Amino acid sequence: MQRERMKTFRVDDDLLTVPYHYDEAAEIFVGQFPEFEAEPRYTPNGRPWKNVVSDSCPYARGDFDDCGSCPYLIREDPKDIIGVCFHKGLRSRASPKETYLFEK
Amino acid sequence: MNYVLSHQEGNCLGVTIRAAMPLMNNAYPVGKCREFIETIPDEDVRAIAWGEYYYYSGQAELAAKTMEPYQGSADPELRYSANLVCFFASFTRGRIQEAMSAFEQMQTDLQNDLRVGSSPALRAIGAFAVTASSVLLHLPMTVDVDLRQYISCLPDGMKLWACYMLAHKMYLEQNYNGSLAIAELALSIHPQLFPVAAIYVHLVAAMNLMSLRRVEEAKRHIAQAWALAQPDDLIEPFGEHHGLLQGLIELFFQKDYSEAFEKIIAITYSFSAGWRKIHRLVSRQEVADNLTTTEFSIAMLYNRGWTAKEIAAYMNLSPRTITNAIQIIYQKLGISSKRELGQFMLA
Repeated sequence: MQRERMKTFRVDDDLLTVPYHYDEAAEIFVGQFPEFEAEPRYTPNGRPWKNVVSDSCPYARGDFDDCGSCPYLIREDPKDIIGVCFHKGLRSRASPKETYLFEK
Repeated sequence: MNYVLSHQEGNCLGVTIRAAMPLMNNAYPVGKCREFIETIPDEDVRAIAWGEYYYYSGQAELAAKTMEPYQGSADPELRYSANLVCFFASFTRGRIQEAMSAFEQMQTDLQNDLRVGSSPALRAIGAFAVTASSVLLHLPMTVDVDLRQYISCLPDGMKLWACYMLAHKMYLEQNYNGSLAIAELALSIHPQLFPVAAIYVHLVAAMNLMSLRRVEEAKRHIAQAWALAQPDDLIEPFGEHHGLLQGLIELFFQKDYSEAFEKIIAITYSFSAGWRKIHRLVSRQEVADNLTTTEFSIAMLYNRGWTAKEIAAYMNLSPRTITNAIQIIYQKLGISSKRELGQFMLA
């Protein structure tokens, strides 16, 4: 059985590939995700990738203090544990084009 | 020294409790548990004490084997004790049907004792056994009984353990200050030290202190529990409470008591596997069941509002390790937010 695989996440015109390995005990493939707080990454539109476990920021909405519970975090699949923050307050000034989802 | 002389007898309206949970009810000198048991003159009471000992020392198979002949005993004190120990031992052994059968037997016995007007002391033992099984395994009771009405009829060791049970119930209701108050009061008012019961009370105190983020005080209670348990190898209670102690087991045992730590983790896996089976069956709620013990501790803390940095500092790990662990936990549970995590974790 194949023990390693790759998965590509597509959000906001960006592609991010993550390696997965098979966890024998849990019997599932577990992804080795980047930690965006330590190594920030922005989409071509200037939006930051976030881990759902990241602590929420001052722009966050919701009753929980994590990005995963915040509606501004957009994921390719709602079950993904990484996504892109669409709040304009976190958008990079170097963003090449203006697209709005929530912030207006 | 005749340890039997120190056996605490319950006495309520002239009826004496002589055989229920003899080890829990004895203020034996710490480190002399086995010697004490050998001095018990009554063969059946001695067997029950050995059954208790085997259970508290993590030998569930031996505990069940010792107790099984008494599950249908004509002596109700022996019967309640045997069924209570068999009930808990069955979880560690993965025998859910046997556990439920013991629980049903205790409830039936208590119903009969209440109906025919058995002595208050006997009803107290029944209320104790049924409430213990119900509260600690989160099982609904079919008997309408309030243990608090019967506590005064119990001997001191069981009285102390009943306080642990009531504190545990209050902990599950997230009343951590109230639960802690019961535990600390219970420990302070007993003139004699009942090691078995005191271990459990220290553990519930530590659980509450962790929930109140009073980590140093929680550590002190774990140390006190271990001082009572280690000389007699009474390791089972630590495995039973691993998750609720929220990382304290790793912090206290992993480095300094590595052999004990391995045993505790083995007990944790087997006990919690049985616990989850029955919890899921009865409550139909999801419970995290594919996490390692360390992942479970991290998940408990994270669910309680600790940040990754705070967990890292507490567990002497890097924040990156904790963040990675939480991401793995999410993937194993198939969730993607703290909101969902709460559905898998206990209070």
